[in-house]
Amino acid sequence: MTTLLGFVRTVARLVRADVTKLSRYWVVVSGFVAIAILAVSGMMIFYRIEQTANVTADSGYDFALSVVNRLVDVSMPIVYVLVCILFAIDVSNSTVKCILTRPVTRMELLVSKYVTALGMVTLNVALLWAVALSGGAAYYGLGDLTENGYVIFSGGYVLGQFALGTFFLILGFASVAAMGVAVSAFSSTMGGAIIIGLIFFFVLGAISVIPASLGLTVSSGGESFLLSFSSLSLPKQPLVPLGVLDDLTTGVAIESWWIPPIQRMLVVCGCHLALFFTISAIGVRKRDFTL
Amino acid sequence: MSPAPPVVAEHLKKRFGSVSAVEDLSLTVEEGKVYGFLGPNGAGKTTTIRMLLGLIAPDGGSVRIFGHDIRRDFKLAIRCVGAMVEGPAFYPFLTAHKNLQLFGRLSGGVPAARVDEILDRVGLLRRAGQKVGGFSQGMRQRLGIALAMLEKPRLLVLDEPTNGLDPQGTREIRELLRQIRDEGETTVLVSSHLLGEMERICDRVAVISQGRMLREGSLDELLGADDGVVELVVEPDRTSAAAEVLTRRFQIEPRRIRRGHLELIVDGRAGASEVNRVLVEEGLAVHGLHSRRRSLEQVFVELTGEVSDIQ
Repeated sequence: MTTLLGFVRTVARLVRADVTKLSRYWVVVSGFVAIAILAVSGMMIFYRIEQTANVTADSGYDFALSVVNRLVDVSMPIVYVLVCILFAIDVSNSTVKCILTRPVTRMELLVSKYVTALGMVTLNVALLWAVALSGGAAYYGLGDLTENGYVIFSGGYVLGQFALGTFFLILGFASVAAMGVAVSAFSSTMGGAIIIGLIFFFVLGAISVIPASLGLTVSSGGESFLLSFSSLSLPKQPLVPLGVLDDLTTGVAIESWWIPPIQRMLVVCGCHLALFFTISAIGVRKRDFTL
Repeated sequence: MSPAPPVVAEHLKKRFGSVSAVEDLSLTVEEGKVYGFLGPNGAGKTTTIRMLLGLIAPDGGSVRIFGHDIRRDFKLAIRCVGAMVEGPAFYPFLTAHKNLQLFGRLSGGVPAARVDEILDRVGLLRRAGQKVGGFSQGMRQRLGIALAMLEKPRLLVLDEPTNGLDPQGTREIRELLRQIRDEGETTVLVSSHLLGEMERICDRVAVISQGRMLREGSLDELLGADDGVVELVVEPDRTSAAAEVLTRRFQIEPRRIRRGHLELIVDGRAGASEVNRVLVEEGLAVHGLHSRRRSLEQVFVELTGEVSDIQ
């Protein structure tokens, strides 16, 4: 128990140190400013398009969800690049040796990077929702969800479901971020981490364009199963919760979040998370920091 | 039971591919001393220090810091240590003060007053608010030493602390290390290839070359005890007169005589003073009278046969 408490305390100190330095590092600050600008301008452009095409649902929630759905795809590579430098920033500045000559173990350092990455992902999603919901409120209002004057869902219910969807979205994003940290853990320069990280990102993302009918057929107990290659994709997986929320704004209640698409997303992302964490843990534990 | 020594390394080995960086190296650093770790560039000093601090895993052997195994009880071992390994490292986009505060936080937090105090001690207090990216190599070096000393460690490990410093900076660091030694609360392990500097501050030294320990001991053991050999410098044309006075008044036959220089054996410092007094009394101007003890550089060259990297 004392050991666990000590572990958590050290990780918290490392995360705080990361927040201190990253919030003063122009690359990271610029990244989040870019996301904010992208969110605001994207939201305004989306409103203009809706007005021009006259296809608005007249619902702030629907508008907000549509904005997040589109912007999350754009902002994800930016956050991913920022995550890629998390470990590399300490290796390239050689500050990793200053950290590791203090009472900090390599595992604590690695876990702290994962926590910081999760924080960056959360900040990104929160920023998008904040902008999108503000736009939704300003353009259409955010009261109860109604249709023809009848209340379908209360505002509280919709926001609660949005929060749940965001939770699953962040879980999925965490596995993407894990790939960034794993790449970073093996890199000696920030440029190298970004380039290698982006190659992994786009290669794993490209798998999702493979038709779901392509894969490996596995026989078990006389029955055949198809293991689709597309389910190995990573960047597209976290977007599943936003697809589930789409039904909500059309008036369909979400009876359960524990549905096959979410289960599959959790399994795929969970496997990726475990894989990347294991790879980075082996790398960081074995690595000679001959800097 | 006597307390465990600050550093006990036994049979350390490290290979990088086919190159053997450190081979069967053992050393013990005693508490309260300044221990010099000498060797030319590429001798294995930094690799050894990295192993001592757990930054790299040795291929063989063990390291104990104040009795704690650096691999098994890393936190207990490293808590007593302040280190600067192969040059200072900081976040260039943070100020000197913020950098120290940030690293201090990892050990549980250091009060801002202590950060100011240590910056003052290395002469950087006026630069505390400046970003490290704009610092010169010398300033970074001093900041690195400040970081190593931040939490008042019981063991201070400094790898080439005077690298990149001008003569004034080197003198300041030497004075700082002397102060630390005189305070007696901190044991210092310092590596360098600047033998002159090491001779001035170390109590005990180890000479390594090509990853092997060549010699370890106190300065007296390495340089040879003061055996009374002194060099006398007089007016060149009074060399014979000086030799005659030494023979007549002290029954001393100079071992070697060159024009203006006489090498002789006297009985301690008092003997040298007496020789000086009598020569002056006999009307001979004494231009110099100094011990002929070997320098660390001479010992080093004898041991390693290397002269290119050392100063």
